Amino acid sequence: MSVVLVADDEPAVLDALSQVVEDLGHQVVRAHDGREALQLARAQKPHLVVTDHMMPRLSGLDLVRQLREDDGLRDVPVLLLSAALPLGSVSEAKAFLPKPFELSEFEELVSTLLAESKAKAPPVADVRAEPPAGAEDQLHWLTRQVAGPLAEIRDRLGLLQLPSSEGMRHQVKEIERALGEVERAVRQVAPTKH
Amino acid sequence: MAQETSLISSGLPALDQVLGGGLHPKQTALICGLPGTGKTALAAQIAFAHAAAGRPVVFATLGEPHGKLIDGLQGFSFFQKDRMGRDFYMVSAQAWVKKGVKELREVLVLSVRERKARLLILDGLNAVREAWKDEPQVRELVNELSAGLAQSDCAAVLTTAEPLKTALGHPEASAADMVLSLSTQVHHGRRTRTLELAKLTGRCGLEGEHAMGVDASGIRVWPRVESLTRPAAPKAAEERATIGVAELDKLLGGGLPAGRPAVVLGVPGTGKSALAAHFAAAGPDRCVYLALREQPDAVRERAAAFGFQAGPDRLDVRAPDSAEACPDQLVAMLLEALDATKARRAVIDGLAELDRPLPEGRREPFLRGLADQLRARRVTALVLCEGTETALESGSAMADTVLYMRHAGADGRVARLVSVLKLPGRYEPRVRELRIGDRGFTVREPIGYGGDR
Repeated sequence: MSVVLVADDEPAVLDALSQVVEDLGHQVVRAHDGREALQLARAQKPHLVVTDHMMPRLSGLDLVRQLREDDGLRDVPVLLLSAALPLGSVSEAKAFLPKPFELSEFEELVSTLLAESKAKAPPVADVRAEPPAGAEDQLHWLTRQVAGPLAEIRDRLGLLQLPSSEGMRHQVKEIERALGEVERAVRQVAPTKH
Repeated sequence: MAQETSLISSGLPALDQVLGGGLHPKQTALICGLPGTGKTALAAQIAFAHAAAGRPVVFATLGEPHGKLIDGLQGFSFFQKDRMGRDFYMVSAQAWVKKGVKELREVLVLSVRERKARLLILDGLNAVREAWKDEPQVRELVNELSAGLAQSDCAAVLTTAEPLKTALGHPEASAADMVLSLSTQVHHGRRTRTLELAKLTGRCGLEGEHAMGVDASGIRVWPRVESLTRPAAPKAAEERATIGVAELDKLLGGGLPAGRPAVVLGVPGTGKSALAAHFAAAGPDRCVYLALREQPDAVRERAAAFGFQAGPDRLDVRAPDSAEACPDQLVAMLLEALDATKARRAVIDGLAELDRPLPEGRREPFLRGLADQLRARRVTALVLCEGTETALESGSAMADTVLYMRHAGADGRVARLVSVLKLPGRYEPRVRELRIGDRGFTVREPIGYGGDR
């Protein structure tokens, strides 16, 4: 099973693409914009990034460029999807699929890219492995362990329909506030070296 | 003051006219109207015009899938795919609606800043209201968004799927500097579209309802002719323009008063179209002929049959693509042709086809508005009006010169008679007989006809 980061600002498209990837037997991390995708990529180290181009807070193309500048993510293949960019105009991405596309075409491309990625590169660090020995490495390991679930909670909160009752809305806000505090705390203790 | 700021073209010259020059580069416009009235198409057309003018656009949607939206826009000639993803940047803000006011406002303002956008389109504001069910929150969004965009030198166009009456009660209408309402109506099976300027701050526009249409180029707007700025008409000169038949010029006291419209009244078969062919093709310069009853070829063939040159440089025949073209659309077609060709002669054939769809209360102001525009352009126009003297009222609203053509029994045959009913200035108050032959008209004194004038 591989970890695939899927980014699209349209909730319906994000759901559909994520479902397809999950049906292929992979774990999906969802992002609603480019910046969230970059944060999740840094935290989750996915095997493949699937991203739309036109998104708020960092376009898909800018996301690809930032991934290429990140030592830990430089080699992660990116499948860029776009209804806007012309075919062959994006050299930074590993693959480009113009929207609209057939889902079978998408499935095939995802499988091919993951197979190529696994054959070419050593597997990315297993976040479930035993903690390392050194104190700094342990801290690094811990922050990575926490970052994934936190991002997942943030992701799920983003998809949550705002409840109509005042009490429940208050509860959601409280969860968001608490989540923000934990995220800040993790960032503060996280070692600068990755 | 708004007047001191350069306005940005909406991409539709006629809409710019309605808006008093165009869109303000920092203000907020609201487009309201029920689904299917053309809000998104108009917003997209404005957006592409901005992008083409070097003002990047963020087009934020709140519900409609991008694929469907792009499919719907691709058929219009204003759609430029090569701008998408660059200076026409489409984002879905749907996920942020669920998060709240602050988050939605932030993502929109941030997108504008990141893309260096000068125009934000927020398409489907009603989706926010439906999701939040909280009017103070919508008010907060609109106010904070306006403030955030102003800091980024960015204008905004918001669309909402609500009728004007509902939209005017909502905070976005109060916050907007301009409110446009789009609507459709069905009358005798014919669907008409209307654009109404309901609010405009800081400058004068053409308030009220204007005709609107949708074609392959996108949204079209035709301002009410009577709402157009009334240009200073030149003083009535003594100058006369030939009607194309020397003997009729004599009857008219030297020809038609130049630079103004004249009405030719008569039932079918009295020779109005033949007279129009003489006027159009025998004059000293180009004539724009608005053919509303016949095909353009028929008009040219008639003129050619009389031996006149009927090439487009002399006889420029214009006809609408559809019999359902609205009156203001037809007037716009005529005025655009006159402006483009600098022609000083025009024929409107015929008046009933032009003004029939108008509601009763609008007919007279419409005709007076059209006459004002013709006079301002110093165009001598012949307006063919089907009917007898009872139709004079309609023609009189438009012209102070009226020729009357009719049939009469004369010496055991049916004769065509012509007389001047009114004309500002001198003319011969006599009846003459017209005969139409292979080479056109001949005019003679009527012989023993059983007529009344």
